[in-house]
Amino acid sequence: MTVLALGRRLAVAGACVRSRFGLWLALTAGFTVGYYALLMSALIVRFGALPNYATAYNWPANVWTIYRSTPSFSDVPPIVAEEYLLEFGYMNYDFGHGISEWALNILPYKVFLVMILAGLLATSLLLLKAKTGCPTSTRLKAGTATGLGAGFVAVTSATMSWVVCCATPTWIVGLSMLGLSVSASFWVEPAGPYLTAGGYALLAATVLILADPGPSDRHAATAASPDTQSSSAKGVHA
Amino acid sequence: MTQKTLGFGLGLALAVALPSIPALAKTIDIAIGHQSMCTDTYTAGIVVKELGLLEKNLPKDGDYADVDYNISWADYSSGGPITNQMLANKLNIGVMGDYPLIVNGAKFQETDSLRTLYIAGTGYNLKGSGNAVVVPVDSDIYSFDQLKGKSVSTPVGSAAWGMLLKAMQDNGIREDVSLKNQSPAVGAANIAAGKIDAHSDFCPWSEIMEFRGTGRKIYDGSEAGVPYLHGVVVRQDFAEEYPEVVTAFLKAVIEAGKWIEDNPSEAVDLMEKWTGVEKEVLYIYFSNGGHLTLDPTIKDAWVDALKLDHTVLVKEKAIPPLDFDAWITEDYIKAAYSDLGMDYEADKAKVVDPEAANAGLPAEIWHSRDGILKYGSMPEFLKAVAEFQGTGAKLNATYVYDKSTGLKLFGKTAYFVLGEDGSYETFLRKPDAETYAAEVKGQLIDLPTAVAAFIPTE
Repeated sequence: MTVLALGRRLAVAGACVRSRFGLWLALTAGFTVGYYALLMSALIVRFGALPNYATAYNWPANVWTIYRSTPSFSDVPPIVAEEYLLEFGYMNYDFGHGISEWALNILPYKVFLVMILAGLLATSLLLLKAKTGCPTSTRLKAGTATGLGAGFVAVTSATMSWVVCCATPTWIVGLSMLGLSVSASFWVEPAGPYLTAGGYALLAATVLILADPGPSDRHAATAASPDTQSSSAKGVHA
Repeated sequence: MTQKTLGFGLGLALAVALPSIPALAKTIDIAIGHQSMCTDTYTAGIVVKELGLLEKNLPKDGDYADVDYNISWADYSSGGPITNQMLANKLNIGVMGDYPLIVNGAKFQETDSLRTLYIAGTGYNLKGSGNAVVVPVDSDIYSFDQLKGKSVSTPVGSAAWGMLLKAMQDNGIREDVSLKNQSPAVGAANIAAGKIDAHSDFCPWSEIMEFRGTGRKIYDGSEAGVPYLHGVVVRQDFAEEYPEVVTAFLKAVIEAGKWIEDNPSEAVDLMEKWTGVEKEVLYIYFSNGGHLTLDPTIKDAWVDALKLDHTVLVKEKAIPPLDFDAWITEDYIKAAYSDLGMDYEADKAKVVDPEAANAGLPAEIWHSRDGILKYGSMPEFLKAVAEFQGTGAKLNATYVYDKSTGLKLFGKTAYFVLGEDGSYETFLRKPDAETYAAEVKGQLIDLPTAVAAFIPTE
């Protein structure tokens, strides 16, 4: 794919989003909220209890503290990435003065990643919806690729903690909760960043494939100035 | 009024007011992460906090004459989050067990610019007691090798997890056990409900289960033979900026240990109020002959043990390398000892082995009204239990010692062997008791049976 072709597809995708921006925004927000609602539901079902505590953290102040007290700037992002904004969990009072048994942690960095996922997902859906003349097999392949990509990112973005000793919110907690053995979870853990990257790549590729302007649109896009609005109007919604 | 007059007036006012404005005091934030549900951390955590020992020892003269201290304590149920909070500089000091300590050092050394220092211990058990494997009280499992083909849960990443891995390797059943990751509370609840075959946990969870009558130890950490220790880490930047504050903290740790050693009954009574852990359980750790030796020195053997633990973590969790020489420093604890007029090298050279140290210690009864009562012989102890039971007196707990390891045990969970000569010995593990009973042609009995022989007939 040439840079020009890539640019055209991005333009088509952008135009598609702009043309139904309200819906896109609603889908993005809905997917994001739905994702965390799903995580919370999984915790409630898995442990059979509703959360009984919530804690809010002063995220901006904490980030400022980290920035001020970390000499090397390269160390700042990974530390900030672990900062919480909110925590909803279940406190077990059977022992001592209570210990947090499990929790759903809202980390802004992870929320940002999930929002990118949701945005790509929403774009794919809008493009798919617009391509009414698209063969079923293509729609099926696109849907599968989108689902697979979203699945990878969703699984590796989970921020649940299960208060085993030394546990922090990590995606393999979700796998352990689903019943994956401890050794298998640890074996899989290093693959997390690659799975995330692979998931995003799959989603982005699906968006680009779906954003194919088609022959007439290619002609229009080549002949006309890069007026993405008219390109979108003619191509995607044709 | 002219501008000149106004300026003169303002200048005069400032000149008069300035001397009466106090110099802006510097505030030093000291944030400590501790664990109120982990007994071996108490001397650098809950005791220092509740007795105000840090405040007492903080420097107040010289460079610190105009300093205000802002001390905050954060309670965690494990060491991992403490490390994360230290990375974010929300905690300067953390106290945790051996495996989390190693993760702490390694995670910091993985960064370009941040480091922690391991500056002191809080306590240890030479052979590894404190960690244990517990089965439901009605289980028919009595020895570790019987776990073959069973499900065992443990808080992965903890010292108890490390002990479990080593025990499985030692017993050749590494591949035959289904390992599950469970928190202490979940593990304890599952043991109570009989939902899991066994649970491996750290201090004092095994004893909590035993005391509540839901679980029974089948394996004690001492069988692994690797010391179990806890310690204090501090952010290096904080330690370098305020070395006197770090030394003050360690002086508080030493004083906390001495306070417990001098008043174990009073200490566990207060610690129960502070932590919610039953005092009878805490007594098994903090009393004379208890599991925990309160000693903040850094011994060479501890460094070797930590290095061994690191190899386990590298193998199982692929954690980063750790430069132990750069991480461990005795400077601060030596300074604390020096300030308190104590001999660091003498304490460092001392090692308490429960097997030798607890030999001949009296059995104990915790009478709810009269407190701790001691008995030099087992018949005296059993007779006293029988008499108290006869009067309906409430006994909080009874304590005896394992003949094999010297470990302090709850009387109600111990296996008693009555010898042909009428002598009694007590054991933690049933197989050890059976072996001994066979040796001396004795009889294996439990506490109620042993006590029954001393119930007055009239």
